[in-house]
Amino acid sequence: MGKKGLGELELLVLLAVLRLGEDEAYAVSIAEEIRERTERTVRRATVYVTLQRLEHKGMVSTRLGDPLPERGGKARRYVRIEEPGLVALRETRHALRTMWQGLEPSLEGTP
Amino acid sequence: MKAPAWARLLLGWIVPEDRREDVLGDLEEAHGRRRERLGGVRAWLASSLDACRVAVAFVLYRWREGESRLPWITGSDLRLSLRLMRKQPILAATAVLALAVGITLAMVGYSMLDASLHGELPFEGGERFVTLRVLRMPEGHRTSLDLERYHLFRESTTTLEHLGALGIGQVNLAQPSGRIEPVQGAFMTPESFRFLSVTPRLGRTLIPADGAPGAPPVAVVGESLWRNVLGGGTDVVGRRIRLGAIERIVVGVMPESFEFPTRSDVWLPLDERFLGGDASGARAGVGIFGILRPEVSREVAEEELVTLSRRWRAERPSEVETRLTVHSFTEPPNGLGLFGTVMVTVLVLVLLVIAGNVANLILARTSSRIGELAVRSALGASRPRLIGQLTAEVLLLGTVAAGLGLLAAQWILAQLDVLIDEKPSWIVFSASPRTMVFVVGITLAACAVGGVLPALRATRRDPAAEIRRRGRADSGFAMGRLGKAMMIGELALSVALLSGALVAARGFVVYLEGGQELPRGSVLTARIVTVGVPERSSTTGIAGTTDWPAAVTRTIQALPGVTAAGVTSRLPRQDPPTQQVFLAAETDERERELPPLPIAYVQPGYLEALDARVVAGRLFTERDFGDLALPVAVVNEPFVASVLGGRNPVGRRIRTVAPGEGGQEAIWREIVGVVPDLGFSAADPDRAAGIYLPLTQEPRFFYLALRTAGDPTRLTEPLHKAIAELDPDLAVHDVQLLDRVNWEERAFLGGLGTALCTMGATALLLSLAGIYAILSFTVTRRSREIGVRVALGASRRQILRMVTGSAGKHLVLGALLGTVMAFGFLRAQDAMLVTRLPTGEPWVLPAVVVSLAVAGVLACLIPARRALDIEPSEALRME
Repeated sequence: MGKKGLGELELLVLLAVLRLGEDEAYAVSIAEEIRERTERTVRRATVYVTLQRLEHKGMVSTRLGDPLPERGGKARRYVRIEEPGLVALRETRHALRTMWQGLEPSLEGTP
Repeated sequence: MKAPAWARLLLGWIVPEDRREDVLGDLEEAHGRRRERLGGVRAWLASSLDACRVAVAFVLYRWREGESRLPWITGSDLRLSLRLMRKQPILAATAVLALAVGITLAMVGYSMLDASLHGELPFEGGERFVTLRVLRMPEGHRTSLDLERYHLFRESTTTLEHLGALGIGQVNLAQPSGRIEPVQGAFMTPESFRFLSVTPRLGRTLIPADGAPGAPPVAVVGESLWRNVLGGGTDVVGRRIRLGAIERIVVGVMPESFEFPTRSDVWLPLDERFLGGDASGARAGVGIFGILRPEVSREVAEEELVTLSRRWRAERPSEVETRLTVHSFTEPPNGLGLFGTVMVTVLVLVLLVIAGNVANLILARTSSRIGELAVRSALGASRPRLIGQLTAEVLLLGTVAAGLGLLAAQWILAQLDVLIDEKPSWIVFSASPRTMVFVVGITLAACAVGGVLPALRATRRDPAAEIRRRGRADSGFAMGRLGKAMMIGELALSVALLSGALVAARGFVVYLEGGQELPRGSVLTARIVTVGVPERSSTTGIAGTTDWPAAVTRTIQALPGVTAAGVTSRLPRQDPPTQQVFLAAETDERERELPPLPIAYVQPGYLEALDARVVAGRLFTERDFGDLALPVAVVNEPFVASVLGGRNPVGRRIRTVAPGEGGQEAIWREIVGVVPDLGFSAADPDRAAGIYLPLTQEPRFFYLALRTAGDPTRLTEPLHKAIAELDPDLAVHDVQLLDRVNWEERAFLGGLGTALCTMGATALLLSLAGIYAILSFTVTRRSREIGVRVALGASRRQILRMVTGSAGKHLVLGALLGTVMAFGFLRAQDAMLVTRLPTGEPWVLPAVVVSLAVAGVLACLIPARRALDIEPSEALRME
């Protein structure tokens, strides 16, 4: 894992971006993807801030699409995951797996 | 359907330019999905909320990342604003004063409402005190709790720590000099003192034994009475004082800070068995209160008492059905919250309209800075930076205004706190932390309207492009739709306020002058009340007997210098309650119901004391009051004019039906006389017609009128003395000349009229100042165009129309809207006041509108003259 690591929201947003792919990932769809999969409401405002932070860290990049009529002639800003983002995801997965190891029986035993 | 306009505006302002497009697009897309899912209104609300969240998130993010200061306002912006304020002190002073007036009004209104709604008893555990209210169903009238249930609740409750009773009322204290002084008394179940966490200044509080049957009568006195009347010595405990008809032993002195249930001079024990009443119920005016056990909510206590009550009633099916509710002890009467909220909302709207006008002034002034803005923009200043700079000034003005408003409001609240002394002791008019939050909120709202809106408008186009546009026939950013709407709104509001104010002021004048035939300066009046002492002995005085008003009249008539005296249920100008009236059939007409008419009950001597001229028939005599007397009535001249068209009423019969009575049981009375208009109503011509009936029932209080040959005020002392000697449990209040009766109402009308006139005039002046500023600005901006037009042969009239046309439209629209609002305002004012305002003042509205037109023309005159003086050659050289 990198020096700063990934926060929980950053992790969720990166995973959502990865799932949606670079042609479908933008703030509205990311928030919905997280809501549908985790049943947690993540506000669009939070997604913007998280994306800005990730972009700042170089983990994602963004590009403006074409203007769309259903958006009042405004374009979408599509998000693409970059190499540092993928590295951070891999490190987080590794760290989490290591931490989970051997814990399943005790978790299963907990009511 | 697009996302809410204001949400788009907000995000457009807050979100950095590089992210604006997609964020606004996301807002639209999310709004479209919400509309499908939730419908229009809910989607609008949800998207508004969403936009707020996004805006806050961006501001906080940028702030944390150090990309920008919070509202893009820097110290240099503030310094520049200060310089501008110094450069144009009149504009700054006008804006500050206007905002300060608005903030003061809104803050006073809010503080009073807040104090009334959130008052708390000022001692530990005060928040657990509740009162029981009993409504008689199905009518919903307030009634008192019967003793049987009071005792049942006391024995069975598990949610209340204590249940007690209390009442307040005046009692007569006999001073050593023999002078009788009415003092404020509180009657309370003595056990209740145990729960009040108060230590007496001297002696002890009341104890349960004081309320036991046969216990010696005792009293606890307040510190102020002890110091000012009883000498302030420590030997006061054990001393005997005479309160009403009963001599009591002083057992303790309460500290000045003790004010339960209200500020009182003496506390007297209520017997636990009868609560000052008899076996059937507590004494009138005695209420039941309880103290919740810790951790028990009001709702739980109410549920328990309602259940107990229901079980009790199930065993007594013949009992009247009642509805029992438990309220916080300090809860204000029903409807106050709504009324207060409406008032505060109106005041905040007035402030926003004022701020709108400040916005117009600022916008007009900003035009002179367009060159400066263009340079800044060219040097790389973003739009938020420019907005920040323009807003800084209004923020500064608003802060100064808020400071001034806060000081003024504190002063007004302190005055009101002293002036309105009849409010409960827990209501203290002062600025609470909530008020401070409110002031900050309304100041920011005013700054947003007064500063951010013009700034948004001024920076909508690129300032450099704006410079190129100058001089062309285009009104540019001078006044947008919002600015125009605010200008018209303010004009309308000032017309409505001024009209209302003038009618109120006119009501005051009518009230003062009075069209009635009343004697001036020779009649003294007083209110005579039976004062409340719970265990008063009916054998010592006359109060409580059916003929006590007559006994009082006889006593007063015997005073030297009195030429006539009598009693009544209502004095002139006191607006007696109205009743349904029927006029009996005559040979040529059927029985008919008249509109409700005011009715005053009088005894012989009263109409004579008012020096009433007999227009027809006769006045009342002693014969009209006996058990076997024939039912009679006396009417006034307006009655004859409006009901009978001037025909002689003597001999005609009427029937009066009080609210809640059946119409058929009421007896027919013969009209025996006619008197002139002696002023039933203060100023309402609709209520001039009225009826006098003989006062035969035992009243709790009545009014006395006595006429003297000389100065009637010399009889004040003898009057007090004679009444005290007649019965120590009678109190004399409000001794004043007839001319001063209902003076408070008149003073209120006068005060209200003055306040509204001031507000209306301020609003009008501000609107006109706004019109002047905008026209002046327009002339400057369009000088070149005017010059070209003149050069091409435009007439003076055409130039005048071009310059003042839009202002004229605003004035006309404002006047029209104001006229509509004025009608609504007058109706509201009418409903608010006890005394109705005079109707038929058709001159008021046209007068206000004409004044507005004249003032409007004056405001346009100076800029218009400047426009006409423009020389084409000079104007063309300007570019």
